[in-house]
Order: sequence, then C-alpha cells, then structure tokens
Amino acid sequence: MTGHYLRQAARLLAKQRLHALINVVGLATALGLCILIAVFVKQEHSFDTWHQNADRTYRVDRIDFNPDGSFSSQQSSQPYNLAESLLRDHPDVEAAVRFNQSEVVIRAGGVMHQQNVLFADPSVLQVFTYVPVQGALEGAFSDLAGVVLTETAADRILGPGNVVGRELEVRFGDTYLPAVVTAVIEDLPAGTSLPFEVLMNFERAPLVYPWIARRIDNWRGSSFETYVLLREGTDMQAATQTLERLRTQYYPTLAEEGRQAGWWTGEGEPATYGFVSLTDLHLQPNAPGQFVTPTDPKYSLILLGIGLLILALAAINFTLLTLGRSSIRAGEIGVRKALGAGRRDILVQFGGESILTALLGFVGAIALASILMPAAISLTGREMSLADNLDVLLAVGVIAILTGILSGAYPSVVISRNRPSDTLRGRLRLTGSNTLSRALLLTQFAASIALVAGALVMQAQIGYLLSQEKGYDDSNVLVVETNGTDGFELTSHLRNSLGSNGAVEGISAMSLSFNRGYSSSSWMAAGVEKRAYIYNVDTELPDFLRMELLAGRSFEAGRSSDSTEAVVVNQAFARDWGWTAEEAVGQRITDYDNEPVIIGVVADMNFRSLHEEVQPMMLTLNEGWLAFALIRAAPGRTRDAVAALEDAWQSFESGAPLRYTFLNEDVAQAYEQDLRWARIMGIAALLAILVACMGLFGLAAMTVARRTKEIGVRKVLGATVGGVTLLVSRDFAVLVGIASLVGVPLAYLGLNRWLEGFAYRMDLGLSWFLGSCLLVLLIAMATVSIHAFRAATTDPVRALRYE
Amino acid sequence: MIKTVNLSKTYRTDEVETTALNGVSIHITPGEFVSVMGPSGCGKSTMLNILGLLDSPSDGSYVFNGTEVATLSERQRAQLRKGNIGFVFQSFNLIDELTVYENVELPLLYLGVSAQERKDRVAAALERTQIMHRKDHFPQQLSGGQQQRVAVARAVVANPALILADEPTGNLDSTNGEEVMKLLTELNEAGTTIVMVTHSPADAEYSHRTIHLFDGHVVTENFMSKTYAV
Amino acid sequence: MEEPIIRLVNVTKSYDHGLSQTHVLRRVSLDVHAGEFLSIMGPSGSGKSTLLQIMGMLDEPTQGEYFFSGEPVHRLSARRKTQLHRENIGFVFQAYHLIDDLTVYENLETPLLYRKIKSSERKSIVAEALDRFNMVAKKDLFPSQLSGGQQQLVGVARALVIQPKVILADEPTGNLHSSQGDQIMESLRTLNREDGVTIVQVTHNQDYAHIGDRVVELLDGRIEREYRVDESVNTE
Ligand SMILES: Nc1ncnc2c1ncn2[C@@H]1O[C@H](COP(=O)(O)OP(=O)(O)OP(=O)(O)O)[C@@H](O)[C@H]1O
Ligand SMILES: Nc1ncnc2c1ncn2[C@@H]1O[C@H](COP(=O)(O)OP(=O)(O)OP(=O)(O)O)[C@@H](O)[C@H]1O
Ligand SMILES: [Mg+2]
Ligand SMILES: [Mg+2]
Repeated sequence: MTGHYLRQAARLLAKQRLHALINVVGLATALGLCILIAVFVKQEHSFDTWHQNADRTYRVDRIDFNPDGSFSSQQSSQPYNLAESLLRDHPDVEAAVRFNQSEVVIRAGGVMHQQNVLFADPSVLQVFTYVPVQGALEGAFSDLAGVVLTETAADRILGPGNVVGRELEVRFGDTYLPAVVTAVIEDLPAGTSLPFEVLMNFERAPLVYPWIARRIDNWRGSSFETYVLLREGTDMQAATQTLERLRTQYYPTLAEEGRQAGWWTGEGEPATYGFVSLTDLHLQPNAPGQFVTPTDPKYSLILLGIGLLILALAAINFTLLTLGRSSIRAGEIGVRKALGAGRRDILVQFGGESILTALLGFVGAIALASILMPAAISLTGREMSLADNLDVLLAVGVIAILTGILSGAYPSVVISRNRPSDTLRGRLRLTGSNTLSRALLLTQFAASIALVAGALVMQAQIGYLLSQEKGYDDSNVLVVETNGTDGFELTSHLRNSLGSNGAVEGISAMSLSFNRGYSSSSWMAAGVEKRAYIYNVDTELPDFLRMELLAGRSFEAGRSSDSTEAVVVNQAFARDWGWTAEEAVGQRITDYDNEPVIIGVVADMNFRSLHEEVQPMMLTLNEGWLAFALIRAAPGRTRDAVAALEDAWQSFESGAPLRYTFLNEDVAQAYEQDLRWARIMGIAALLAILVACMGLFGLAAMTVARRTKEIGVRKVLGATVGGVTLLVSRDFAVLVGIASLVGVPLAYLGLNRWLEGFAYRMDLGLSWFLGSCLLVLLIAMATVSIHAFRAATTDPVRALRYE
Repeated sequence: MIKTVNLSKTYRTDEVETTALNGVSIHITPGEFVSVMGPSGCGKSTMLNILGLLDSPSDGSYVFNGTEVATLSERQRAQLRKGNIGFVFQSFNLIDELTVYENVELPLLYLGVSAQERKDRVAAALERTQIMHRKDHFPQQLSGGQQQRVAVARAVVANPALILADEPTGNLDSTNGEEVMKLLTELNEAGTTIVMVTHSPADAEYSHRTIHLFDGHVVTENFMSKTYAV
Repeated sequence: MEEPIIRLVNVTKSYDHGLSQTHVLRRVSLDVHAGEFLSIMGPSGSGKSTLLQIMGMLDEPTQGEYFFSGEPVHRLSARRKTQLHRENIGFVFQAYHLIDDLTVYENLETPLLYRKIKSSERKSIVAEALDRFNMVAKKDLFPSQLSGGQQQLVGVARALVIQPKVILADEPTGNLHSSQGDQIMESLRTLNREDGVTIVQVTHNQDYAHIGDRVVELLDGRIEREYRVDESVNTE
C-alpha cells in the first residue's frame, strides 16, 4: 500500500512538476530564511550570555530625572571611586570592575602598532569569562605591567608561538613604558558588549594618564563604566534600594545645591543609580555604552516580524497549494472511498504526501541556510553558525512538519467527511475552501504590499539622511593617523613639506576624527551641568572644515590665551544652555578642571548620526593631543595629494607605518548600522516577496489547472485568448485591490513609527504606497497572465481530455 | 463543407504509439446529416475533434469551407470555429461554476448577441430539450441525461452551420433520445450540417448516411435509402 | 423466505434550495434478494442513479430505512459502512470516475489494495480482468488517454475484480458499441447465474433490461411499475 501511495506521489511530483517545485522550493526558501533570521535574532538576544556570571553581572548606570520626576537620560560612565565604594559599602556586591578605553601605540620588535586598549580592574578576570590559551588568567594582573592579549592581537603584534613573558613597550603621552604579556586568550565571541584585543590593568591608568589621576576622589567627573558582580541569590529589589540609598550617601547635598543654583526644582533627588543587567546591554539604546553601540531592539523585532511573516507566507502558500490540489482531487477521494478506502486510508495518503513534501522543503531549507550563511555573516557583520543553533533547526523542523500535517490533513479530513456521492458530483466540495483560500491569498497580497512599501521607504529614508547638509565640508579630506608620533610635530612637518603643493588645499589636525571614537564630558555653566562632545583641534580646524561661524570668532594662531582658556562651541551647545549664539560668546564654563570661555559659535553640524538631533559639541585648542592630521586635497587631485603625503611621511622618519582614511567615509560610518539594517530589511523584504510570488505563481498555475476544462469549453464556445486571460486574471486583480486597503494602512502606521526614531525624516507620501500596490499588482498580473495565456492558447481537446 | 484526404492521428505515450485515425478520407456536403458508428476506441471522437477544429491531425489534409485547416495555429482555428460550429461532447463538458441557463447562454455571449434575443433563444433551446425546469441548477445537481440535454441545448442555441454531436443520446432514455433526434432532424432540415457519433442503429436511421469506422479506417458508408432524396 | 440482501423501506431523497425543494425519490420501498438480477429503468432524471448510490452506501436517504443483509445501514457508523461496502459491493459509475493520476492497471488494482490482497494474487486478478475486457494494450495508459467507451470498460472491470457479492452498475453500456455492450451484459449474466452475484443495473436499453429477472421502472422518484421479466413477455 505504501508503495502504491509513494508511486502515485512520485508521479504527481513528476507530472505536477511545477506545483511540486513551487511547493518544495517555496517552503525551502522561506524556512531557510527563517533559520537565518532566527539564528541572527537569537544571537542578538544572547549577547554576553556566554559569561558564566552573566546572570549576576550588572553595569551601574546613573539615571537623571527631569524636575517633574520623569526620565531624562541615562549615563553609563561613573566616577572613579564608585567601584571601590560600592565594594566596600554594598553588601551584595562581590566584585566591581572599572573600564576605560584608550588609543595607545605599542612597540614590539621595533614595529609600532596603534592599538585600542581596554583598561580594566584585575577583578575583570574573575567577573567575566575568558578562555586562556597561553599562560594563566589567575594573577595575570598581579603586576601593573601585565597585559592580556587575544589570539588575533598576539599574532599581529608578536607573531605566532608562545608569547607569554614577551616584553612590549607602550607609549603613554610622551614616554614608552615597559609591559609584559601574562596571558593569551581566545578571541572573544561575536556577541560581546565589551570587545577588546588588548587588556591592561586599570590600576596603571592613573599612573600614566594625568587626567585620570585627577579624577581620583572627584565625585563630579564621570568617565568610567563600572560593572559589579552581585552575590548569588541577591534580592534585586533590595539591592537596588541599597544602591539608591548609597547614591544619596555619596551625594548628600546634590539636590540642595541644584535648588540653590536653580537647575533643580524637583521634589526628590535629581538622579539615582540603577543596575543594568549585562545581558540587556546590547539591546539598550537608551544607555549607549562607551565601547560598542547597542542595537536598537526595534530592528531585530522588525526582522523577526519579517521572518514570521515569511514563515506565515510560506505556510499559507503551502496550505493553499495543498488545499487546491486536494479540491482538484476531491473526485479521487470520492472514488477511493467508493472503492473501499476508509477515512484513515485517505488521511494517511494525503497527510503523508504533504508531510513528505514539507520534509523535502525542510531539507532544502537547511541546505539553503548553509549556502547563504557566509552572505548573511557579511551582511550582518556578526559571526554565526548553524551548528551552534541546532535548537533553531529543530524548532523550524517542527514547524515544517506541523505545516505539512495541518495543510495535508485539513482537506482530507474535510473532504473525506463528505458523502462520496457529493464529492463525486461536485469537484469542489471543500467546505469554505474558496473563502479560506481567498482570505489566505488576501493576507498574502496585503503582506507583500506592506513589505514592498517598507523596503522602499527604508531605502529612501537612508538616502535622505545621507543627502542632508552636514554643516561642514568633508570632501577630499584625508585623515592621517599620527600613529604614535607627535601630532603637532607631524602637522608642522606636513605644513612645511606640503604647504606649497598645488594638490593640497589645507592642513589641520584634531584629537579624534568624526566617528573614530568619542569623547564627552560634563560641563557646568550658569549652575547647569550638561554633557558635550569634545574635540581637541588646532587653530586651523574650523576654517579647514569650512564650518560656518555664527557669532564671535574662531581660534587665532597668535593668541596664547586661546590655547588654555578658549573654546568654540556649536549652536546646539548654546541652545542646550538656553543661549542664543550671541549670548553664548563670552560665557565661562567649567568641568572642574578647566574654566574656558566660549569665544565663538559655529553652525550645527552632524558629526554623529542623523538619528539624533545635532548634539552639543565643543572644540578646544590642544596641540599636545592631536591624534589625526587632516589634509584636504584639491578637487580631482586626491591621487597627487596621497603621493605627496607618502613622500612627506617618509621624510618624517617616525618609523611608524602610514595609515589614512577619508573623512567622508568615516562620517558614513555613523550610518553603517542604518545602512546595514536598510540592506537587511531590503533583502528580507525582497525574499519575502519572492516567496509570496512563488506561491502566487503556483496558485495561478493551479487556478488555471482547475479551470482547464472551463477554459477549454469557453474557447470552444467562442472565447478569445484575451478574453480567457482576462477572465482568469480579473479575480486576482480584485484581490490585490482589496489587499491594498488592508496593507497600506498597516504599512503606513508601521513606517511612521519607524521614522519617528529619526531626527531628520523624509515625507511619507502616498506615492510610496501607490507604487507598492502597483508593483504587487504588476507582479501578480504577470504571474497569472503567463498561465492564463498558456492555457488559452493550447488546443482545447487537450484541456477537455482531462475530464 | 468538409473534405479530408488521408487524415491521420497518432498518439505517442512513453512506450506505445496509438494510431487513432489512419488515412481517413471523407467528404461531407452542406446540409448533410451523417452518422458515425464503430466500436469503442476506433477513433470516432478523435475524428469529430479534428473536424471541429479542436485538434490538429498528425497527417493529411482537411479543407473546411474551402480553407485548408490542417496546418493552422490554434488562434486561427479559434477564429474559424467561432459561431460556425456547435459541439455536443461525449462527456458533456459543462462548466461546473455556471448554471444551466448560463451554460447555454455562453455561446451567444461570445457572439455578442443582445440581451433580449439571448433570453429568447436560450429559453427556446431549453424548452426544446425539456430541461427548462432545471435552468437555475448547477451541472453537478443534474442527472447524467439532464446534463446531456443541456449540452445539446448549448450546441444548438447559436444556430451554427455545423453541429458535431458525440453520442448525444448515450445517457438518455428512449423518449428523451427521440426528442433529441427530432431536434437534430429539424435543424438539419433547416439547413444545418450534422455529424453525429452514435452506437444506436435506431438513431443512425435519422441520418442520410452512416460512416463505419474500425481501428481508425473508414470501412463502409451506408446510405439511408429512405431519406437520401435531397 | 430468506432475508433480502437489500431492503429499502420508504426511502425519500430531497434537496433543499432555500425556498424550493427537489424531490428525487419519494417513499421508495424495494427488496432485492440475494442472487437476483434487477434492472432499473426510467426517464432521465427520474432518480435511478440516486437510488443506486443509496444502495451502494455512497449517499444517504433524507428519510427512510435501508437494511443490508439485515443490518440497518441508516443507523451504522461511517466505519462500519465503509467496511460493509468494502466487503460486498462493486460499483460502476455512470460517469466512470476513474482516478486521473493512475494508469488503467493501477485503477484496477486500487480496490484490491484496500482489501489487502497479496501482491501475487493481485497481479493475476488484474491481468485476467485486462484480458477479459481486451484492455491489455491500454494497461499503462491514463484515463485521459482512453476513449469514452474504453473508460467505461475500465469502470466495469474495476467493479468486478473484487468479486463482490453485489454489483451495482449505472448504465454500464451507455457509451459502448452494441457488440461490446452485449459482451458486458453477457459477463453480468454469467456472474449472476454461475457465481450467484446479486446485480442491480440501471439501463435505458429494453433488451438489456430483460436479461435480468425483474424490472423496476421509476418515474419522478416513484416506482411506477415493477414486473418480472418472464411475465412482461406475456403482457407485451
Ligand atoms: N445536488 C442536487 N441538487 C438538486 N437536485 C439534484 C441534485 N442531485 C441530483 N438532483 C436531481 O435529482 C434527480 C435525479 O437524479 P439522478 O441522477 O438520480 O437521475 P437518473 O435517473 O440517474 O437520470 P439519468 O438517466 O439522466 O442519469 C434529477 O432531477 C436531478 O436534477
Ligand atoms: N491522448 C491520448 N494518448 C494516447 N492514446 C489516445 C489518446 N487519446 C485517444 N487515444 C486513443 O485513440 C483511440 C481512439 O480514441 P477515440 O476517443 O477517438 O475513440 P472513440 O471512437 O470515440 O471511442 P468511444 O466510442 O469509446 O468513445 C483509442 O484507442 C484511445 O485509447
Ligand atoms: Mg468517443
Ligand atoms: Mg443517472
């Protein structure tokens, strides 16, 4: 019997090749995508969970309130002393770790490497989980000079082989200090919020960085992310209360001071502390950490939504096709029953057929997912593997089989419940199958329309962002890493050797190129404390980047006071403190270290992503702290400028390699996440539409197959090819019409919400939606007409023979 | 009206090759009433399909109304069929989704006949085949014989010049069968050419001439003495 | 007298169409005894096929009782009905109803599969049927590749392969040439006379009707006339 069924199933597969192909390939595509999406989303949600203590590790954040008690902002950096104070005062804190990140130059074997280094308290090795491959983690930081490297960094800096015990020279400020490799660990997993390649002992930081030394016992400056490991079985509510109480204890007079200075008018405290779970960090866009930008969970939700949608589409397709097939075969069911088949026989046959198809689809899905994995990795920038996600595979497999069971069993149960005489007489005695099919198809069209609109608008919005005025001119600007050499000297040298070169229009320098790291700190003025981003620059920079001066003046080379107590701020900075550009000029501000005066205000410029309103920013003159030299090439002569730069770098004889980027590329980095997401969404939407189209294609084929006889008869009676094509297509056109009424509002609402996340957003015009509807209509019509046309142009006998 | 020379049709399946028609040459003049007889599978339906321009022969020539049609494309054949030929299929081929009335109305719709005239002509055809009382039923609500009568009504409603009927009485009792034969005779007397496949010698009596097919060949042609006086 | 194999008591069948109703069978009572050969006649639409389908348990009466070998079919579960049908009845449809996706051979084999007949035995039964109906050359063709009459032959053969106790045949010769029709009728007669198979056929052909023992004429869903064949010869 099984052989008999299999033979018929195989023949159906062969005869209905198209139908089978679409059913299997459609399901495989959809399930394959779902696997990839599920793996990705799962990874997004399992950031940092690989730390053994992840469930009791927390970052301590400061939450600022508005005077009315509402949430104002969240701050991840804390004062120098918080870690040790909490360890001492908070009974639930088992260990505490401070972090600070810095660009340093490491010299090994005469070669210099500009390298990002993470400074962390020795307890980092106890709180977080790292896997040693050389040396031991225990005692790795018992000495201030200890350095822990990842395998990649060890290989790059010191070459292969055992490197434990090898000496390094690390440049802090002007001097090289010795350091020694005490351990090498495996590279960190992709899902980490605290990435590093080189880890050094935080206790060394105040010894080598004067500014950090000045933060000791300073409770007003906040620069260090602070993590705590809570004891097992800690009651979080109680622990949080203790934490809040401690904050008041550390800042006993803050509220009072605020009231006196006028910046705090609220009832209670202006701020509190809170624990943020390590595993939540990655999806907490409220409180961006210093080290990596968290992902907006909205995106993975949207993606998950698309994944589920694709799954639903595929299941719908599968059901529709199976349903359609069975209604075509309703007659067969009737005959089989008349020949002695029981209900179980029918169920086994039809259910078996569709489970088999679903399983084929699942196997295809796994193959597809493995083929697409490398592409998915480069698209998302996240390391992923199927082997680590067998649970996802299992879940998707179960879904596949369920789809098979439901879509196969439903029609056979319904049909075989009917009396054979009914099934034999009518060919389509599937209760409500027509309504069901139409509803399912409608859903599909609506989803497709929404997806097309979503994909189009997302791309357009990113394009809109990129086309915004930046407020400065980043074209043809080379960003040269000083790479350990003295920035001021390098800039002078470049000026001397390139100043008269016709390919070079200007030269300047700054501490951080845009989007190559941030530095921000709190500033107090007129009794109000606010944060602002800081760039150390030379006197040329505002002119060099062609910023627009709104009030006051720019830095002047001759004035010595400019280098100690002058800052240029942007309009956002002035606005933040409630000043006009003119009012801002002459204001004195302080960060408890320095007390500069605002000498000029420049127009707002987008030095960060356009997701945000322009942030307050200040430029200070600090020629001892320039990490990047900037060279503007004359239009069209970038190549010459680069050649000249290479010569000049050679003659500078620093021994460090030349490394440079282009400023506009650095700036575009701010949109990398958006671009990447837009691309992911675009592709996902495209594939979803593809899945929908495949279903539509199969469905159209089936509709035509079901109406083959009708088409044949109509033609014999005089219908034209065009008339028949229209007859078959019309139904689908009407469905698309209805679907647009459902899909467009949904897409509009969703996209509107998405756009709200942008400070700068495009118009959400109706044309986007009309376009999407038309596109879907076009695709639908094209698919259907192909079949209808083919049916309309074949010999009628062939159609009629099928009776 | 119909002239075939050495008409052949072969069907090829994986292993077997079936010759359904093998060198059939016939000549049918306008106004003739011809019946075709022969055992099951001898090629009657195949011949009717080719004569009706529903199928193309594998070989041979077929001149319909002065046009060589053996090599025409489906599109061109469709053009020739329209309004000229009425069919009664062996398996009825009614459209399941349409009512009896709509099924019969269809050929008139395609001919662009006005609504009022359509109504009258459909009603007349349904009366004639005694199926008026079922006009709002769907085919699957009809008995085999009733479906057959609807098929006959649909074939005659447009007053085609040629009617091809494949066993139009196969599912009918004698009374209803006679009624259908009378209808065909009347149409024939009014000038319609008729080719009818039948298994019933009694029905064949109504025609002018009988073509006997066997294994794809024409074996004999009998002239009915009583009527061949035209 | 022994119990009839088929007993219909006041069987009624009607269809509702909103307001109106179509009465297809009106209080039909009929006994068919084991080993009988019954012919049903009547004009088109008089309810013959409906009556036959009810006898074959493919349809249910709107009202009335149906006993098969004494079992009250109208009260049986679907499972029991399937079983009863499977064990006893061979059905020939007016519209053939072959399975499109199966070859002639497989169409004949299918009812044997549902009766769990061994493979070797199946082969010989099917081969014999193909031979008997002159279909050996067509055994690998699909129904759509057969002529109307050939499909009808397969439909008849399929009902016979299971060697049923009762054969219900709906116009088994409607699309056949007279000689082929004669041959089918001959087979039915042999089955009836020699193997004691009970046969109920619907036919429009007076001669074929008279091959059986008894004729029932339906008109408008009622039994209009009922006579034994030997008697009717006298009356006509
Ligand atoms: N689903 C239905 N709804 C309404 N009427 C129906 C339905 N099915 C059958 N009928 C009607 O029942 C009547 C009897 O049908 P049945 O098929 O039994 O006739 P029959 O005697 O076999 O006729 P024939 O010789 O033409 O095959 C017909 O008038 C038919 O129109
Ligand atoms: N598509 C096909 N493939 C293979 N063989 C075919 C096909 N169509 C028809 N045949 C064969 O061609 C022959 C003639 O078929 P046709 O339908 O013309 O017979 P017929 O004379 O109308 O018979 P009937 O009286 O039974 O309807 C048959 O043997 C049939 O099996
Ligand atoms: Mg035929
Ligand atoms: Mg009938």
